[in-house]
Amino acid sequence: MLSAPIDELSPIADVRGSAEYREHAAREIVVRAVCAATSLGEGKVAA
Amino acid sequence: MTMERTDIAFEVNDAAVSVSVPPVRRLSQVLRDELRLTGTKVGCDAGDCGACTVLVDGNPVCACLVPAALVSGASVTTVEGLANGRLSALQASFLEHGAAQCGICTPGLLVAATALLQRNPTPSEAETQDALGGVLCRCTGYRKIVAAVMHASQHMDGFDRRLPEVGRAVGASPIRLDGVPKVTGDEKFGGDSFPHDALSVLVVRSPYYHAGFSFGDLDAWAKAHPGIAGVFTAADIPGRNCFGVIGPFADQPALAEGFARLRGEAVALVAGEREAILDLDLTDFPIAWTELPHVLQPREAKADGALLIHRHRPANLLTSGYVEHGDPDGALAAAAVTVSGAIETSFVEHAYIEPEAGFAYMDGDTLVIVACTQAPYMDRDDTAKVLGLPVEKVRIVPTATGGGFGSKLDVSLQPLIGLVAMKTGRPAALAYTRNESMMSTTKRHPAEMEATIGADSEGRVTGMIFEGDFNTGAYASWGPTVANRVPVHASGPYQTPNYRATGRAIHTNGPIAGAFRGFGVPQATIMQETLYDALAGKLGMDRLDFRLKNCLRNGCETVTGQRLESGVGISECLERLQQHWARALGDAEAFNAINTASKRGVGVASCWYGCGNTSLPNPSTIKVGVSASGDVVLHQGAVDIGQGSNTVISQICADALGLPLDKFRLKSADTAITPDAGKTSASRQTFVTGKAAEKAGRALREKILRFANVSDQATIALDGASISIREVDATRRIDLRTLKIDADGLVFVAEETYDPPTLPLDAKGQGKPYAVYGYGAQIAELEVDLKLGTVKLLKITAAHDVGKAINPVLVEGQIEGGIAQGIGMALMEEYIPGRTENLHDYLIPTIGDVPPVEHILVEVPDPEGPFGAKGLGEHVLIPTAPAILNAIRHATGVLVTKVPATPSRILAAIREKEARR
Repeated sequence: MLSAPIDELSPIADVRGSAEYREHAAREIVVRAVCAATSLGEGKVAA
Repeated sequence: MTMERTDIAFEVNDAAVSVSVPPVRRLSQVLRDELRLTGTKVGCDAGDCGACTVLVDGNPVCACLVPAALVSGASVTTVEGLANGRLSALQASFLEHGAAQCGICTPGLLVAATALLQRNPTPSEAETQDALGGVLCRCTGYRKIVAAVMHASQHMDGFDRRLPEVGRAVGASPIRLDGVPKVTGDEKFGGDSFPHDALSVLVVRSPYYHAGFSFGDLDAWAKAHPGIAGVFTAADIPGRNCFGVIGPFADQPALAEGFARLRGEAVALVAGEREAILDLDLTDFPIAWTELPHVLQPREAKADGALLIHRHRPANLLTSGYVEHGDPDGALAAAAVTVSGAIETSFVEHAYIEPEAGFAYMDGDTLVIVACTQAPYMDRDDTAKVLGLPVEKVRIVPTATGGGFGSKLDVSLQPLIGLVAMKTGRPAALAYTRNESMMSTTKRHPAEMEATIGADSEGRVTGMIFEGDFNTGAYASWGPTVANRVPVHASGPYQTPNYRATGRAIHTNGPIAGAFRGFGVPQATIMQETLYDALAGKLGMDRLDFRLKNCLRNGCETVTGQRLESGVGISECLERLQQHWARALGDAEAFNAINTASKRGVGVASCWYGCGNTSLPNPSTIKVGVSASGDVVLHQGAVDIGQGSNTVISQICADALGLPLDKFRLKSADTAITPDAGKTSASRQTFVTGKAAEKAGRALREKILRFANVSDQATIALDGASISIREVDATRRIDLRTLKIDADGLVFVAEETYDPPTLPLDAKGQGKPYAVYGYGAQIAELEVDLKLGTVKLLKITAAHDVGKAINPVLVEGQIEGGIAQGIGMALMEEYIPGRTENLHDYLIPTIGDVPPVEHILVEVPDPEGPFGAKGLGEHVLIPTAPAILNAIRHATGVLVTKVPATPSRILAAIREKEARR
């Protein structure tokens, strides 16, 4: 799985976490959702 | 401008009602203020806490977010509608499981669970957590709530009060004596019984951390606003405008004079008719602010040239505590292994679901204050001082208290509503908003700590040096207690022959930091216990074995030179954890062998905690008597803030007296009628007030036996209005109605005081600071997602030495609740003034955040405690956060040194470690 820009993803930074962390986490969660939807197992993709 | 009203008709609890209110008025307000259904609680007015949950046409909603007009024609069910002549199965299950502690969240939970059970009578744990996920509880740790809901269907035939036989109250688990009103909605908390004719009070507060201010024409402003009865400032305060929980350090004005030292500080009061205050907009209030420079961090506050928050406290140092024993520098220099580290913690908000609330009125020339509190006699004394009244002219009547955890030890609104009542002659009522509760009341001290610990090659700790700066905020509050308690406890419950510890309380313009479950010890324990893991690692020892090797035992000397002759139960706690430790380590190893994206970790940490004041007098007095009608009347002044003192103190007294618990009638705290049982803090009520109750029970028994002229082998029994005394085969019956009755209606009465035997600490902190210590240890098992930094808690195993579990179910409730707060401290809670002043930016654990808890009750009796009992209220929180941090390190190889360990901090630490490779 390749990394690509997601313009819609512009998280805020606040006391719960930095914008950088949130963007990373959002990408990771999207990757996992896609993997789950396509039945790809753990270890076959990279965020 | 007053809003237009409209008539709205709907059903509440199957009865038709009609109200005339503005259509956008919150349903929660309509239920409470118009219909007097105060079982629906208000914790936040923002849909965050769920305390106001009601059913609208069968669906759970937050009543604070529902405009009244929206329920026109609808059917509303509140907690008062759940019982139909007798308790519902769910209410009975809550009581039997001990699922209600303070009870402020209980109505919301019961209503939400009722909706769940109507569609699914036997829900799973996950279904229960989903259904109740929107209701916050700060006391229980949720586990007993989940169990009560899941097993509600087994309680269709009412409930068993589990009342013990005579002489068997101690060690039994009767349902809490004050439990029923908590599940029916009848319990009256601070905001639940405001008089109809009370003036409402608004507090004008500083929006700045540090600012000067001056008022414009307050009279003209008041006259221009219909319904305003008066505006009051510091100039109206008739007494000394200065209060504080520790007399020599008292420094806080009830209303600021000319400048404010913290954001949220009260500067003026506006009193008016309820409707006028509800609609009042304070944007035109005549006050001019001049913002001044401020400091928020201790390192800035103690720097050369920093502005002084109190002129008479150089370097903004409120006070410091110090303990030195042996030769710590020499011991560390000679140690085979040393480890050093630094830990930083954050402000933690108490987040009780009940914001401060109460009302005041004049009863003749006596000011009566009816409010939630943890310390009625301290409230009385401070309020009297501020308002220039003799203490006997102030009466404090505590309501039920919806959580306290330390913050309701300090006065908050008492002098404010008292001032309005005195000035206007009318009752004055005030309920803090969630925002002003969080802004203006105390927090847990943030700590910046450094420590070094050394051990010999055999793995015995030889020395430790600890330094900690504690941000005590703008006023003293309990800062001196934290500064002094931390150095005594920073060694943990371990033999540390060479030791030096310094704790400093440093003023900033941050929130006032005060008492919060542990008085700084939870922070210091994070420092010590994380270093213990590092030390065990360097020594190549198992982490639990290392602790067992070093833990205190009977006959050991503490770092203050106190010899602990008996009752030291930490080794038993650690030993009881050994099999769980081995199993948990095995489980983690097996999981980690086949998983790469997540890793499991296991951590352990211990605690010890001295019960009661540190080297200071700490008496409790209990009065108990037999009435002419044959009841045992217990004047029980230990405020029950949910922990169960009403029940536990009664159990102790019952067994000491030799009469059954069901004969007991409680007279709860009221400074006009109950003797002073001290404040509810420092894990002292079971130990100190319990000891007074034991003495009073024995003294009353002695009086009865002496009256009957029998030996102490006799038994006594109450039967209606008579008492029978039996010795061998002879029985004597006394008609109580024939005896002389005192002013309280009692025919036999005893009053006893107990003050724990402690000794002062000398200049090096050597002495006997506490008469009794409690001990504990916990294992945390968790899973860390290595790509997200998130933590999933799997299980907490908690072994606590409570001396004697007076009421095991209540002990379990304390353990689970303390663990939940420890989880919050470890993983999510960080109060930042100006940014997290509500319950959606400030996160506390929800029902989904607390994993299964296995409790192991260890009973190593202490000869000083009643029936051997020790305190436990604070102990139970202390090991949780360090056990979690140690488990995260076990899982990931990284220690997060800034607490809470949020996902972003954990991930940053993991990445930093990877970058170092």
